[in-house]
Amino acid sequence: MLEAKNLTKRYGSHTALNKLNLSIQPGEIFALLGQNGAGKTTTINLFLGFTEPTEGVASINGISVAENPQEIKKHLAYIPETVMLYPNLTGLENLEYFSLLAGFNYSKKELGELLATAGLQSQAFNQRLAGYSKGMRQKVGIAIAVAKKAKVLLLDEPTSGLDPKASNEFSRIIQSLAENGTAILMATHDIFRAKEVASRIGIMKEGNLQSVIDAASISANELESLYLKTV
Amino acid sequence: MKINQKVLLLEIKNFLLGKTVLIGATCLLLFGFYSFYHGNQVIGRQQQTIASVPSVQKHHLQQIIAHGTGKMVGTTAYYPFFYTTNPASPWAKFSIGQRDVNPFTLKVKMLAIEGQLYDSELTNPLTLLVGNLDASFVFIFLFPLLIIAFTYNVLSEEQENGVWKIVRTTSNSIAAAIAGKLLVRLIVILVTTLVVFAAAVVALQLPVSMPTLELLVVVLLYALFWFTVSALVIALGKSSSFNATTLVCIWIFLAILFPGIANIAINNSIPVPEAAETAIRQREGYHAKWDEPKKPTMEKFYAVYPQYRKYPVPEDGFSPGWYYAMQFSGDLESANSSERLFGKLMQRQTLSERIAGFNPVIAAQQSLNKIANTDLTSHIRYLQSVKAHHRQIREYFYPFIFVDTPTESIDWSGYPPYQPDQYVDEPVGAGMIAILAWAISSLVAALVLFKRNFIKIKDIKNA
Repeated sequence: MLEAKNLTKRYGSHTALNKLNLSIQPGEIFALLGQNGAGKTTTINLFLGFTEPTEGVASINGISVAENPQEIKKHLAYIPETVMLYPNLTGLENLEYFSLLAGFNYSKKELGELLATAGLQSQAFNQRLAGYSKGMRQKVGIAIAVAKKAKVLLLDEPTSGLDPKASNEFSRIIQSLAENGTAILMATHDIFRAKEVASRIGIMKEGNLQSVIDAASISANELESLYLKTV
Repeated sequence: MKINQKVLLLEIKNFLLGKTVLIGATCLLLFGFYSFYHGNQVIGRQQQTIASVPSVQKHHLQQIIAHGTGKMVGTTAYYPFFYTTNPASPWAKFSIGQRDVNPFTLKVKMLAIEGQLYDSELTNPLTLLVGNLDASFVFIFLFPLLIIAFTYNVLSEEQENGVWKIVRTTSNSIAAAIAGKLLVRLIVILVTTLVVFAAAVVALQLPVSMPTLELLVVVLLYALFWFTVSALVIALGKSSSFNATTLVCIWIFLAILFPGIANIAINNSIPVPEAAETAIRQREGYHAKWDEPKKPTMEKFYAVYPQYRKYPVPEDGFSPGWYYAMQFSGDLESANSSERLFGKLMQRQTLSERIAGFNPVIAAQQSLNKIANTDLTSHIRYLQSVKAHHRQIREYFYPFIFVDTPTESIDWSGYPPYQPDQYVDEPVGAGMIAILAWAISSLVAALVLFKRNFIKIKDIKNA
């Protein structure tokens, strides 16, 4: 489970995130919507341990991120807007490298199965990453997250810049991960993608979580109107 | 902290397939091969000259004898040169040091010695300005640049392009991840060092012996020092451009500015007016004797060589015995300033070795020159040996001069042969310790900074 209690981050006089209270259960996809600077990425960075909270607590499975930054890494995986890996290694080698960093020693066959699960074509497995499209790199990123067997997945605008087909594929894989019990927090600008994959949607403005909506209870158009009204 | 071997292999593959490694290593190898050629050329030419000295000496003396036949030894002895040589050690090809500016052969006459010690061939100042691109230059000046090129962006580039966030969130041990990346660079640097050094051993035909091993230890420690300096700058957690700029500035300071400033400081703190003073005293000491009574001159000579008192020296005319006693007096009168000159040169050497304790670049260069016997101390040893040989020659010919023997009656090649100095195993432990101490200091500081800037939670750039 992923939880924020009064989570606050200030940079000098600027409040990037203000007293966020949030709880995401296993199997749930929570989408954070908001304009640039609304506090979405700050929220994710606080859960990743990339920055320390000014106040409040971010915890994963009951473990405080700030107090146990190393321990929480075992529980989470992260996919940024653009998955940048090692261009001189193949997709398979990149997956092997990051799996080993996480303490998992998979066979070549298992690594191939993980990449296939993430939707990567088998002929790309042994190509150097320098020749991958953005969508292909995102799939390797998903494979890394799956290989880690993480119970919490943090996504920072993961479909930004993907073509509609790649974006659809990505959404399908994310949903299958959630169905297997992964708690997912996704920051995005894409209202329609959020509506499609998320269980709940939060709209942020100027560091504050303005509203939380049950995705099933609202249409895409209503969500868009609410979003525009809020921000 | 445990580093997985497979991770290391993948890191090595990723690193070696980068263009930096290929371009850097190729450039270094090209410079390396040229440096071997240059070392072989410069020292080879010197060795050829040295090898020709016995036949030149023999031919020269034959001409002198032919020219002097029918004259007395005292007259003929004015003309011959007696050659001395300072053979290069096998390691001089690796580190030419001062052998390109200091004479490696000196021909001396039986006249006063001091003025003759500092005769040397003219050297093209442009050649001196450019310096020697020998193997030591490659290791001392170019290798640090290769190390900088290999390491400056080791973490910063991953931070800049976003890989670092994934490494940080994926890795069970961020310290192990950092150590792995640095270890890969260190391995490649050390392997490159060993390969270039092995090529130097083969190309320069260095004997497999202790001095060669000492050369290797110095260059490995030196490479380690620059690696730790790079690690220290990387540990600041700044951008790739900051790291590159800072490291190049450090290189310019340590390799160019510091030695230049140190040289000026040494020359100012230990001035050597004795260099000119010695030559003037020797010349004045000799020339003044022409107009002085002969007895005081001869008494000074007899004080050292009393066995010649029994030979008459006319007070009112020229005699060979008196002439060579005058020459000897010139040396006697400049002896103190000569001693001070050599003393001050040694003081300068000692001071520069102390200063080297603060600069591993100087420490490494001095160590290589010491091992190769191409430093100032080696040259001073050579000059002292020339002085000793000059004395042997004088003492061989004095009896024939004072007895007034005909030129053709003596064995002109019977004088004690010049014995070049043997290789001296100069201690280089202090230099090695200085380099190691700086490497350890940089490493400790780097570890502290890595912990502060990378291991602990902090606001990550671009996060």
